[in-house]
Amino acid sequence: MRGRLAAGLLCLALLAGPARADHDEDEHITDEMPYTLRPDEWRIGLWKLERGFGAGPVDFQLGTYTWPYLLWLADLHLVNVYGKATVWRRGPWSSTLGTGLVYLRIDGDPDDPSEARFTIIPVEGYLGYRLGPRLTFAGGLVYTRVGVDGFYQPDDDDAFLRGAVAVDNLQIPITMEWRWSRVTAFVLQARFLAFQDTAGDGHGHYDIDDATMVDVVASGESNALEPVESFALTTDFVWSWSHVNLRLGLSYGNVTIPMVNFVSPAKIVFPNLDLYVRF
Amino acid sequence: MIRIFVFLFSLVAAAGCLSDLPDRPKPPDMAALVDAYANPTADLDQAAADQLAASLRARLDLAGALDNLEGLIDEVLAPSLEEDGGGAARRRDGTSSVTLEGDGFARIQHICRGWEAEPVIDEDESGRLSLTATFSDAGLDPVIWGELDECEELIADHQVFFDGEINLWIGENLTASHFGDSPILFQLVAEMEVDGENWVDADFDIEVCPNGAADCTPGSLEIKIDLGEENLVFYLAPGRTEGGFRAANGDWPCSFEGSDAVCTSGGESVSLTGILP
Repeated sequence: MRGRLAAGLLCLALLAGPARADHDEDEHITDEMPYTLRPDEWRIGLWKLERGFGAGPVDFQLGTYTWPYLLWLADLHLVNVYGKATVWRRGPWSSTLGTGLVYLRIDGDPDDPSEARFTIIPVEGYLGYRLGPRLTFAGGLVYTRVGVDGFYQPDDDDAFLRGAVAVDNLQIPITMEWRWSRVTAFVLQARFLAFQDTAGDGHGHYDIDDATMVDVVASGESNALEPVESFALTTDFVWSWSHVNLRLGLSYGNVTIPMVNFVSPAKIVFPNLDLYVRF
Repeated sequence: MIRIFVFLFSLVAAAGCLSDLPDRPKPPDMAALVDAYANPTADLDQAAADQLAASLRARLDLAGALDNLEGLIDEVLAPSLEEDGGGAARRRDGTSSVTLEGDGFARIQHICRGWEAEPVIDEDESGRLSLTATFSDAGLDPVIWGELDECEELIADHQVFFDGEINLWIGENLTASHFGDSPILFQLVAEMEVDGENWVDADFDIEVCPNGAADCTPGSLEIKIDLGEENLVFYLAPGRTEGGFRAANGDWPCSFEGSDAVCTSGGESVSLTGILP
C-alpha cells in the first residue's frame, strides 16, 4: 500500500514537469493563510474541491471537503461548503474572512423515529504580512460552533429523549511560511485552543408506571471536553509545481479534526498529507 | 464589509440556538409559611389552649384521614425523583433514566387511583395530580408544586377528593438521592372531601416526616395552628410517645391521656380536652 502511494506521488510529481515558480507573488498557500485562490482558479485534491472567484476588488473562493461524501454510501447524509474572501490587501498585508457550513443527518430505521442532526459553522479571520519574498507570517482566529440535536425513542412505549448539544471553541493558529525555493516551502504552525465549551439541553419523557409519567427538561454547561493546555505544533513541507502541490509533514499536540474543528483531548504525533492540483 | 460581518454574526447566532424547550417555571413563594413553622409567634396559655383545641382536633382528624400524605411521597414523588448516579427520573423497570443535572425542571403527571379497591387508571374518572420540581447543579429547589384536578384517592380506606393546588417544601439544596430524608411541609389550597363530607377548612398545611427518613423520626408531624394573626406549632411523634407545642413563650411538652393533654413549661401548665382522635 505504502509503495503504491509512493509510486503514485512520484508519477504525479513527474507529470507536473519541471519546477516552475509556483511559490510566487501571485500564488500563495491558501490553507489557514490570509490568501485565496485567484479568480477562476480551481483546486482539486485529496480532501478538498475549491474554486476562486473575483468580484471587483474582492477575491473569494468557495469549496467543499470531498471525502465526507463517502458517508452517503453508508446512508449518512452530509453536505458541506465553505468560503473565504480577501477583505483587505495593501502592500505586504493581507486579510481574509471565511465561514462555512457542515450539515449531517443520521436517521434511524424506517420504523424508528430516532434521528440526529449535526450542524457545524466555523467563522475565521486571518491577517498576514509578507516580510520580503521568502517569509510570510500569519495569525488567525477560528471560531467554530458544533451543534447536535436529536430525538431518541428506545422502544415502542411513549418514552423518548430529545436534546441538543453545542460545542464551541476558539482556536488561534500562528503560521510562518518560509520559501526555500520557487518549489519548496517550509511551513511552521503553532495552534492554540483559547477555549472549548459545551452546552446542552434536553427533554426526556418516561412512564414510571401505568399511572405516573415524568417529563424532565434540563440545560447545562460544561468544560469537560476542553483539553488542558491544548496546542499543536506543525512542520510541513509544501512542494508546488506548475499545477501539482504536495504537502507533507508532522504535527504534535491535540489533533484538530478537519472541517469540524473539534480539538481532541489527547496529545499525539500525527502525519499531515495533502495532494492537490491548481489550474 | 459591514454586510459580511452582519452575515457572519447571523450565522453564529443561528447556530447558537439550542432546542426549543419550555422555560423553567417559577415556583410559588412558601417563605412565609416556612417561617411560621420555624418561628411561632403566639404565646400558649390556657386561654389560647381553649381557643385552639377544636381547630387542632379538626386538623389532626384531617391528617389521619390523609394518612400523613405518605402515600403521595412513596408512590409518586420518590420513584419519580429516584437517585441513579447524579439523580434521575427513572423507570420502575430500571431500563433507562433521565439524569437530573444542570438547570431544569421535572413535571410529574399522576392519574389518581380512584375509590375502588383495585386502582382504576382512568383520568376522566379519577382525576389527576400534576407536580413540578425545579433543580439546579446544587440539587432540587426547595418547593415542589402542582395541581390536584378532581383527584379521587383511597387513603387509609377513606374516600378522599381533592380539587385545587398543592405545594411542598422539601428543604434547601436537597439532592435527589436525599429526597424523603428530611421533613416535608405540605400546603393544600384545595376543595377537599373525605368520605363524601366536605371539609370546610380546605386551606391546610402540615409538616410530616416521611417513611425511611434519616433526618427526622418517620411518622412524626407538625401542624401550625393560627391564633388570629399569630400562630404556634403542635408536634406529635408516632404512637403519641412525644408531643407538645412550640410557642413564642417556649416549648410546651404534653402528656397524653386518652384524647386529652396536659402541657407544661417553666412550672406553668395548660390542659386541652379532646384534641387527639
